[in-house]
Amino acid sequence: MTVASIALVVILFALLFSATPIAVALGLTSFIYFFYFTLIPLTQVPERLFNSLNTFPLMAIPFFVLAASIMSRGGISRRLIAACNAVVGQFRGGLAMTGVLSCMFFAAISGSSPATVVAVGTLIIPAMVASGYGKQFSTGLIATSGSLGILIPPSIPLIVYGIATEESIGDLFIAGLLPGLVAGLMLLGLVLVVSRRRGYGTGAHAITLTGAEKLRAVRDAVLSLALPALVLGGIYGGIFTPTEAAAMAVFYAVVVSVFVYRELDLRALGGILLTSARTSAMIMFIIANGILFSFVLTSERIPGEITELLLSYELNRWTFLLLVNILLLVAGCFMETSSAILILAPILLPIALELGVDPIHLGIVIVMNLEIGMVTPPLGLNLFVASGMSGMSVLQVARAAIPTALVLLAALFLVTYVPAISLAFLGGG
Amino acid sequence: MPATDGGDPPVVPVAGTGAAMQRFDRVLTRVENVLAASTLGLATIIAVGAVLLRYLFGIFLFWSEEAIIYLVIYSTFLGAVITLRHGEHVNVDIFGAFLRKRGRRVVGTIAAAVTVVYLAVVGVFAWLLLFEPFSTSTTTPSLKLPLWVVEAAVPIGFTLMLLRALEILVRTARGIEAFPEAGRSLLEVEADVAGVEAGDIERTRRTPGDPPAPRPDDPGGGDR
Amino acid sequence: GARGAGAGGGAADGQTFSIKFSHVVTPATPKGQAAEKFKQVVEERSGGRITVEIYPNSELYGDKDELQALQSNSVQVLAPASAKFTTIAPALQVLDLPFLFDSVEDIPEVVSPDSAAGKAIYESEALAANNIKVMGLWDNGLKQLSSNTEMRTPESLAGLSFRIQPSDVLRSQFESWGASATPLAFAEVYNALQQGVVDGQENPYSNIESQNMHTVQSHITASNHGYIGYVLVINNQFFESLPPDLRTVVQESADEASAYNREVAATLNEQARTTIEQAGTTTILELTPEERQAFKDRVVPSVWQQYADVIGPDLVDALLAEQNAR
Ligand code: NA
Ligand code: NA
Repeated sequence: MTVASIALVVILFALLFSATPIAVALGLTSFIYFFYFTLIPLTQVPERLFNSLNTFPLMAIPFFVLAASIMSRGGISRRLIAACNAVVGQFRGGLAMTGVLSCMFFAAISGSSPATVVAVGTLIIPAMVASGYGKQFSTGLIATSGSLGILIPPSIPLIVYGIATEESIGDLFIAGLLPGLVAGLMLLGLVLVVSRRRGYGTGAHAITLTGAEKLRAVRDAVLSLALPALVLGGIYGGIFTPTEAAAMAVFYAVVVSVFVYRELDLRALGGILLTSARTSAMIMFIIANGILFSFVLTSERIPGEITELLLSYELNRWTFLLLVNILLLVAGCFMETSSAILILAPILLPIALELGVDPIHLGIVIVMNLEIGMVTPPLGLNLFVASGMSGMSVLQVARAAIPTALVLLAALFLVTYVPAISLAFLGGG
Repeated sequence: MPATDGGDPPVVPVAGTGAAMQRFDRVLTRVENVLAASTLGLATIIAVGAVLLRYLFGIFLFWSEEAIIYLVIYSTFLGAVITLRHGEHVNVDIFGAFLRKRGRRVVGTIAAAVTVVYLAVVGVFAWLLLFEPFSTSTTTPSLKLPLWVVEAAVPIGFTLMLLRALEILVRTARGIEAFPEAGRSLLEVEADVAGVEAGDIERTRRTPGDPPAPRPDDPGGGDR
Repeated sequence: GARGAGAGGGAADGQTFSIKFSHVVTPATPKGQAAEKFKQVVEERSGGRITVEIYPNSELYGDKDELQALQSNSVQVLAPASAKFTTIAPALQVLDLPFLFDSVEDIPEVVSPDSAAGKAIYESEALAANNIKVMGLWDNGLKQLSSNTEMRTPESLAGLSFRIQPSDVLRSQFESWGASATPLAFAEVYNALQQGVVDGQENPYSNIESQNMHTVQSHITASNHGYIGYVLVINNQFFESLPPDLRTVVQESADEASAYNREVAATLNEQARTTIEQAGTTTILELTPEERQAFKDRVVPSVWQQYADVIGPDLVDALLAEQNAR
């Protein structure tokens, strides 16, 4: 480790812990590196920021944000929840199961986790509490289920991983599907157990619908459910690149919300564009600075040094994956998803390749870890959102989310040590 | 707050700023909003158009990819200004929850000052970047635009962000609520994107059988 | 020492230098191997006074930004595809001219630093003005035509659409053959061929094989009709800052690496051709000299003269004279 490397780490953490915005901490640390430790002209700092974003696959991010926003405004959350309720509502704990299932479907439209928590949680949490599920359980469950938003495709973190490692974003999306389903099913399992033990969703709280009502609810949601099929099918069939698929998702969302559901006025699109521009700028500005910082690490050859160091410990792929999980669970507590990927993926990937770990599988493992990070304090976006929604403090929500987070952890270990779950559709395993 | 409106905060005057300042602020806000939204909108139209033309008519827009990238880059650096204005850039607020008002003010001031330093120094070099020989002599491959025209997104964005960051620094240091849209949390941003109305969230908060919900402006939640 | 890229610290005599060499492909490719060769020779001959650090795989800079990085001396050496220079030095499109070479053996002679074409590249004023010095030309190889129909005559290309690198010269070449041309990114070629978005494409065997294009193309015509190459460049200011003896070391090492690259590329293209033949998916058609001449007559001199203004009228005249003398 050189002086520069140590200085980099110290400065970055000092800035991060002084509550400086993450993008600023990454960018300023990089600037200081250029200034003190290299002869590179300092105009290269803004030049790097510009070129960090100068790549077509990244353009999928604003488009996916926009598509999800339009679909949400077009009344998709309500329809999804109604349809899920029609399918699982009659079971014990049906409303909670509806919540988990709705999060899974909404995750297939949105690339972000907090958005999933808000869209589903706003409707389902009050309903759950009114039906006697308890606020702790309801909030914790939805905060955790919402984190499936970044695992089930489309996924902003998987796009970022694809860009950081030059792996196929389309393959990553396909690889995220089964792990997302597995994690979702395990959450449903937890709901079943808890509901049985605590007597949730019985008697007066049980929801009964007639067969015709159920059919109508499902039919009503079919157009919403066709969006993920369009996106994934288009990518899987080699018809669209992920960026093109994202653009088509916007087109589809406009057609469905404005012309079919008629819940969205074309004039409202201006406001939606503005909020989407803001949200995607928040993400993209972190990514630009994260790529700048990652450039600095590469320039200092830090990933190479760490690779050599770790490989000297005679890791095998299983101990390495265990190490990855520990490292990322810790990182997930403190770090924002995109920057964590941009910093850590270039370090972990060469080791993975050396040890015969599939790079796509590694991406899924990393994103699942960071998904758990969404509900761990101090930095957990889902916690912030759920806290704001429920009026509980961040720590209260975090405590409420412990059982569900443990289920995600179990799913993580399953996915880590059974690579076939990620690689099944890719002809690997 | 109407969920369809992404922008225009009510202007809370900083002591010592005049009506002209406020007017300037309002105009600037509008310009930032319109530019960030319209560049994203135009990029989307081009992206959708390019895919449709390609698959329906076999027509390739060879310039579409470049145009989309540069429009989104502009949208990002202008959108980052709005994000800053609303205090929405994600940070790790470890100590915030444990600090009293005074301590939070100190931490907030340090963070704001660091942000100002970053935006100022990188902003200066971003302007200088436009005068580098390669910025003036290189043209972009498809659109044949001079490179400095597209690179200008960075200095423009950084300069506008710097103005906002200075305003935030002054407010924080003086102990005035830092953001014109007071209390706008990540939650509200996400709610905005998801099309969820503020009233719905209020209902979520006020579910029965719980300790009384804190007021929305109660910072105890630590959600920002 | 602090701020230590480019020139390192030390006393005036024992001053050491470090070169960052960034490229966008894997170390196993001809370019990657030649870069390693360059590093090895430079470090050996300079007795350790120059160290070369190679950053492969776009890990430091990508296609879009490496030239800016070179001009600002953030990296010292690059080997970008020649097409990347056309916005700064349009004359380098000379390398895109169809039938500039007849076979791989012609390359060293036609573009040697003393030849007409070589002078336009090595002594380009446009590049010098941008602080770029050319040290060599590395091959990807000579291009072959592929599609799903037999292409024995230029007439058989009529109505077909071909994928090209973004280049006006290449567009004119295909249009002169009666075909149409669509610029697409290299990574998209396979999909475009598979889905029939385009009918055919042009590339050296190694590119066709590595991208599996032959699995979706039934015919290849061994036309050797064009060239794809990389230009080995160094930041001129950095080069001039070296003591004279080290400048010689760097240039000689570049020459050695270039020769090595040419060998590796030729071998690789032959191996790829064999692999394609063994795959059995594609018929490779050898043209008789007359048949090849028919393709050539459609584009030489017409396409050459069409771009005389861009490339330089004198250069085009000289090249045409060379062609006639051959
Ligand atoms: Na998702
Ligand atoms: Na966390």
